Amino acid sequence: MSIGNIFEIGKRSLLSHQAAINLTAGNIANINKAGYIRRRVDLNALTAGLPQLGKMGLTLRGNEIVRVRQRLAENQLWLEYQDLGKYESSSTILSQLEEVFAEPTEAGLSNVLNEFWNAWNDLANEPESTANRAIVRDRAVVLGNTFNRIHSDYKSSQVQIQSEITDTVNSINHLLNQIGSINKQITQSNSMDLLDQRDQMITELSKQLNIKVVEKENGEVTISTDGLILVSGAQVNTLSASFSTEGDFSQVTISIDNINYEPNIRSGALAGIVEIHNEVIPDTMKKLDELARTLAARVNEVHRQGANLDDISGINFFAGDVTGADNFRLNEAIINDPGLIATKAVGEGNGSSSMALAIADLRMENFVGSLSPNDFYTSIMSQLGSVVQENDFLLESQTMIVQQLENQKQAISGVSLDEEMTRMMQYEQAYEAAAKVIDTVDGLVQTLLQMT
Amino acid sequence: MRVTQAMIISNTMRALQGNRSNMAFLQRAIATGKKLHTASDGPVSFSRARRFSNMLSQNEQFLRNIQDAQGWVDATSSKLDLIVGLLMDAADIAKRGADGNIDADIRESLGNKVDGLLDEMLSLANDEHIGRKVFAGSETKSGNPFSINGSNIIYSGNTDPINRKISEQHTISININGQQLLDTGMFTAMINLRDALLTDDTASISGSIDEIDAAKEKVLNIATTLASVSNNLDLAMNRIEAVNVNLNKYISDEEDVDLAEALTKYEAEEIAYKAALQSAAKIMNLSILDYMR
Repeated sequence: MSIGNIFEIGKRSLLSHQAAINLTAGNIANINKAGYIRRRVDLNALTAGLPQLGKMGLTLRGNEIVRVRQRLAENQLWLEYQDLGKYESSSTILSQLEEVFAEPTEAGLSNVLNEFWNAWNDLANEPESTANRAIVRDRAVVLGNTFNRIHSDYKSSQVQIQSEITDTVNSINHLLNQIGSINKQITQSNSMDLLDQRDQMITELSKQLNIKVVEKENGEVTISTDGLILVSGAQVNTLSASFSTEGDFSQVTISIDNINYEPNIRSGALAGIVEIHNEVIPDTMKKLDELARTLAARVNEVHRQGANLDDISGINFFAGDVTGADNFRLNEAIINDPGLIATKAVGEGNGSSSMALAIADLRMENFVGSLSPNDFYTSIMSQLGSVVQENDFLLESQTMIVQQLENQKQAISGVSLDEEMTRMMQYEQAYEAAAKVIDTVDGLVQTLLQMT
Repeated sequence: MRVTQAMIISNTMRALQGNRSNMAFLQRAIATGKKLHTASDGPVSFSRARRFSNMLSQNEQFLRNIQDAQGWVDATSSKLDLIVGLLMDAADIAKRGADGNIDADIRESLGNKVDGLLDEMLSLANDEHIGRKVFAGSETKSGNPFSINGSNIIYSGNTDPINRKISEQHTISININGQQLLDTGMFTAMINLRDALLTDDTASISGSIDEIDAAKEKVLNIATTLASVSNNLDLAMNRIEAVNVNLNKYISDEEDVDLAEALTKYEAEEIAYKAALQSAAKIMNLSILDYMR
């Protein structure tokens, strides 16, 4: 062993610790970057190789840089983010949909319906009155407006959700393309920054769509949804959304472009809004339509049997062609002349209110899906309320699960300032010591030189 | 476990946000006095409260119906009372007319008096309550139900009931129709008395005393029936009012905030929030840099 070797060790030691400090600086610089995974220098190789340093030809490559990953937590997170994404995207829209009904306020259908029945009762108390007829008409107009308003609000929410679906599909495709191109780059250079960037994109993607991620030996990932491959190597299959109209409301289908197949979108933000678009909105409206249609038909049926003060009978109270909440309205003739509102049976005296009473009594009749109109409406509302409540509850618990996993991942992969600063001191001291070694060896050499 | 700065920050933020959102929820509850703002705040409570308030709205309508019916019944019975008074006046006159000591002139003037009473009776029978003929069946707006044609009273109303709905199961008829009045024989008795007095027919005068008494009895019977209708209305009203008190309580149980409880919870949340803020400020201030040279 020559003194020159010790110079060499000193030099390498200086360089290694300089590299380590460099890495520490990098860790500190990226402390707040999302998806950054802390890096560490593995210095073992340097010390292990020391005795045979000259023969082994050990170089700086011995200092392996390692990304400190917590693979299990990462994979678990990608899975849990999918559910979180779904609940998150549903949450706001669902409460908007609930607020459309304005319950429990005076503008809510519940109250408007009650006022409508009460107006009929007031008319029954004074069937000769034209003022009370006008009140019945006005209340019925409010009822019609309320039905119409809810329906059109739901329709415009659906249009608003449509653009949100398109945006989400675009952002999914964008992510898929980026992951594909990073895949290609990674096979060429195994850059850690690229890996960080790709993992972050997969996290973003998992918030939007249910995906399965498989990592290959060469660093590439394969991403699939519902068993169908979206990204494999540089190959990317994008999604597309197509809208069709079914009845009164639109339906959306998500398909994979190249293979023209419709995957089952179960979770992720896309699933949340697609479900609301395709199920919650049309289902709720179908029920409201049923209420509007049955109500109009039943009131008309009774009203046609009755007669007004001039013994005119056979008139519809609501328009005869009401098919749902959107075209629920009064008979045009009644709007123009509330005098046509029937209160008595044909042939009875004008003081009789048998028909007005019969219509007021419909409030208690179970003619909408074996429930009274008010109860049927309440059941629509409480059903929607349950969906919202359940989603909020799931959102809360899912947030906690994700938070816990994030903590687990952070505990391994996150940058800790305390740790980095301590390591920096450690490396700095080692660096000083290495410099001292060189100084000492220099002294040794001087001693030798002075001997001659 | 390794704890990094990012973990502390994100956990602290989440905890603070949780506290904030609890406080906002409680604050809203305290400010509005309601714990139920949407159906999703409690779907079961919501549907229960809705059902109760539907019932309440319906009951309030029944109370309005009862009040209206009570007005009609009161108007009818005061008119019946007046009719009974007229019949009693007529009976007095008949007794005076039956006295053998008076002469034909006085009987004639008594007869004219009875004619006046008959007119009054007729106008009572044709009377209105808020613009509606009371004794006309359902022909409430078709002119006078009673008219006199010589010695005949003609009833042009009908025998339809006027009904009011006073509870979910009960619809009651609140009117006395003209036919019922005719059937008491009150008009006939008056006409007979008048004619007997005018024609100085003493025998018939004594006969019509009984006739008038009989008619009075029948009118009183009708008034009694009506009084029991009025009684029923009162009972129904009391019952519904009692039910409404309960309904209001049930609705309040489902919808309203227990203020004491909400305030206590709010205090607790506030303490937790302050503690979280303080500890967060302290922990986040700690840095190894402070201890390095």
